[in-house]
Amino acid sequence: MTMLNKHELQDLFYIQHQLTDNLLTDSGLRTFASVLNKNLDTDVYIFDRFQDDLIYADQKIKKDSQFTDYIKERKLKRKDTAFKCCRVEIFEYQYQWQGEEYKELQLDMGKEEKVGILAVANYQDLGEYEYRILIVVANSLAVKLHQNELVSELAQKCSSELIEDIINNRIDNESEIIQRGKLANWDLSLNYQLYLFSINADKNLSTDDAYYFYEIKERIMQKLHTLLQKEVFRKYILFSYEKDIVLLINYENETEVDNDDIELIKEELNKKIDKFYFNIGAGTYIKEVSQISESYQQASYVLDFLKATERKNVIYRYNQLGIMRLLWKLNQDELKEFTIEYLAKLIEYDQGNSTEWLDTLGVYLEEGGSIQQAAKRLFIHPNTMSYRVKRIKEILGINLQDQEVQLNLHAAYKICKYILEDDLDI
Amino acid sequence: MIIVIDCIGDPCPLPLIKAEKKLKKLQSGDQLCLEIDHNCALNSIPEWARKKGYQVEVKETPYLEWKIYIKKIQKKQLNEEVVLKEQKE
Repeated sequence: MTMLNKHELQDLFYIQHQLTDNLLTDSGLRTFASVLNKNLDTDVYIFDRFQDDLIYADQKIKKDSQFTDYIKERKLKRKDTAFKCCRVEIFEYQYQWQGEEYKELQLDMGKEEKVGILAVANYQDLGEYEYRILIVVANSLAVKLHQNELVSELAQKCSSELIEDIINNRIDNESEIIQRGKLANWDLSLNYQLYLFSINADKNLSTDDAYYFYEIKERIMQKLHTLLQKEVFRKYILFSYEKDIVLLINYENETEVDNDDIELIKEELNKKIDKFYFNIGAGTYIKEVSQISESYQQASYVLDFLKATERKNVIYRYNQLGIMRLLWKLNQDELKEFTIEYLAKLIEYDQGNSTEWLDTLGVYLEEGGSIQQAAKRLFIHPNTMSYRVKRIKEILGINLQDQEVQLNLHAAYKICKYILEDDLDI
Repeated sequence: MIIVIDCIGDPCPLPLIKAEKKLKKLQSGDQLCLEIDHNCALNSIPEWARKKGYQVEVKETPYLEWKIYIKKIQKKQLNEEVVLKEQKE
């Protein structure tokens, strides 16, 4: 290994001092990157720790309209170690994009607690001196990004009491809560559409992925911030509450609520988040801060409904729940009595024959009595579906063409599945 | 004198804290230029600065960044502006 000469060592110490000053004066990421721009004559960008999004890019790179496509579409051809020293390894990546080859250097910032990935492009031949500059800048950036994380966490903690008060509608004075919102940078005087995100792991998730399970929420929050700032361009409030994520998007009036915004968010999250699925429940439109609590409860109902119906990656609105909105509020014993009256025979048949014809009936009713559609949803042949429907009619002793019968059965099925959750004591 | 503060990548409320700290040290007539890329700061800082009586101007750059100019002005100058505004109304 070559040794650094006296001048290079002096320069390296000077750069280290400069970076320490940057940290002590709370400089932004550009100031740190400029050290590399000046000393190595390179372009700099920084990925988040999940390598999902850029958290920094030089202005020169941002100006390049094709850069985003390059990052998304490039194909990795090779990965070699470029320099290794003191627990740090710098890798050289070779990518191919639109028939051209591109090289960049990447190194992790932070070892056990990785906070991001530093990448440099458009560099000339680098020696030990230049690689060491890259390492000292990466170390300072790691501290800076760690500080940023602490600031974000602290801001979130400061907001938690406010969140509890809003969600539980402990609002004595609306203007006081709006004032408290300002401290958290939230404009609670605006109108919003509320969305609630639930995150769940796929059943086949291995225990090796436990790390991601705990980090996934943070990753989704980070992605949501990026999407809202760079794609949706609307004022918003985003916070995590219990196991879910609450998002309020500002629309001046109810007719302005743009479903494309939440669809775009869903699509982007689907692309980025593997091994996990999420559902989005939408409450009713909020015109004042005191309505957030009710809208949140409605969105929670929606998520419970989606969980019970085993739906994945869907957006569902409270007003789409239809009759369930009313049934949810009734006495459970009365609901049980009603359900037994209509479905007991079929449930007993299922229990005695290890069949799942109650669900077959449910799908048939949900598909408006269409044999073809119901068969498609259950992945069975239409003839099998026809046979099952015929047998269900015989077991229940009913005429399924009668609209009144269909209505009662559909209501009984929904109560059984989504409210009583099959707890009928039969 | 214009002092540029790099707030690129800073989460809220860090840009606000940085602006507040720096403004305390400035003389009237001096100007701060906050470079930000987080739109939560874009909403909160101009509102905060105007309430404190500073002159504020926001400029958008072509690469999803903004420059918030905050000028410290003399109390007298500020009062004159308020009077002028009231007269107009």
